[in-house]
Amino acid sequence: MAVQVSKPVDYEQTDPDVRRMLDVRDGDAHAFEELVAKYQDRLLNVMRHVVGSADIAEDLVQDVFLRVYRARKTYRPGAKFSTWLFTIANNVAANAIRSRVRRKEIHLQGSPSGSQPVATLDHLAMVKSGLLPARQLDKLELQQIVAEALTELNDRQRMAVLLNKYEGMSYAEIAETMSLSPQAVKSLLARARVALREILEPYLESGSHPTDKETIE
Amino acid sequence: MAESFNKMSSPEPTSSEQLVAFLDGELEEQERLAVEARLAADAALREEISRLEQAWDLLDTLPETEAGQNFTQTTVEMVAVRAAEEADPSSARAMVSRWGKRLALAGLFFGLTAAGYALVALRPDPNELLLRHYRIIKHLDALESIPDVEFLRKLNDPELFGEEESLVEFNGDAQSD
Repeated sequence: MAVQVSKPVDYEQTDPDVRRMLDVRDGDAHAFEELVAKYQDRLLNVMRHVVGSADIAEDLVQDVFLRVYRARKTYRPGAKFSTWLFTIANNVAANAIRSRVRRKEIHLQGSPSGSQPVATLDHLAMVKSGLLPARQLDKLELQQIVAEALTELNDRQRMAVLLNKYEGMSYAEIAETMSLSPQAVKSLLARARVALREILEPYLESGSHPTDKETIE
Repeated sequence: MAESFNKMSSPEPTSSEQLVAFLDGELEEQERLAVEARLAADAALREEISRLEQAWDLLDTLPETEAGQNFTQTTVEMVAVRAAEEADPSSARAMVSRWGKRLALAGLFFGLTAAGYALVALRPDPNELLLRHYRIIKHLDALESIPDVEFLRKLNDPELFGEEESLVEFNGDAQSD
């Protein structure tokens, strides 16, 4: 694996968001608003898949930005801003999962449409009966299946996949974000992607739902 | 196909890691070339890596979450409010700390002042000693010529003329000064 050797990087020069964060540190409220506007959707996307609820994800994203603001005075650019931001997000997500699973508020079921409940078997039956357009059927069903596949991963696998897939982070960046070694990230992602391939295998072959396949068989 | 992958991965437990890292562009040059060579020679392996890639691409079907129009504003406002709330106790602590320092300094000042006054007030006045023995000092030459201590004591007896005389003389001298 091409483990990136860390070189001294002047992130202030190479990352405009690092400069924005330094402006926040120096009391520029507008710079903070710019960072919120730029990263809110990206954080929401990851958080929603982590906790399975758009509402909870919004709360967590706000918590992330609150922590960013709290940390502004001690901010030192030692990484890309996004890496630093998602490190905070990873901690917030991990805390939320620990505390809310304890309170059983998170059921960790994928919901492709955010706060909407996961499509039920009744919904699928309605879809199959033709009450919903075929194009919508395919899309909704596939989204549900993929979201469910994501929930089959453990928390760390899921976060690594989300950072890799949606944030385009390298193994080194994921390692830094999740406080893991690059080798651990490599193993984590390999297991996650093999698991996804196994879960989604039926759909790769036939594009059908497992229940359909079982019925056919 | 899956069997082929398992066969492939059995002798080399890291094969799945290599394949995934290959797809992610995370292999070093030598490893990448080795995987490419194996892919060129193994159709099942090509099928497997294709499956991995297809499954990965399915994640693209998930809808992207977009925050509501007011999310930025509400987030910034929430952060501002929370930051202000959290700043209050610290301001109060700082204020208490500042007042504590001021009180301590004031206490130190008054303490030092009182101690200085006490030192000055309690120190024996050298003039007082001179005044108390003024009569003796005034007549020292004459008194030194008297060898009898008992006689000297009698001279100091107020019933005779010691005190009365000395007071008269002293007051007279003081007034004349």
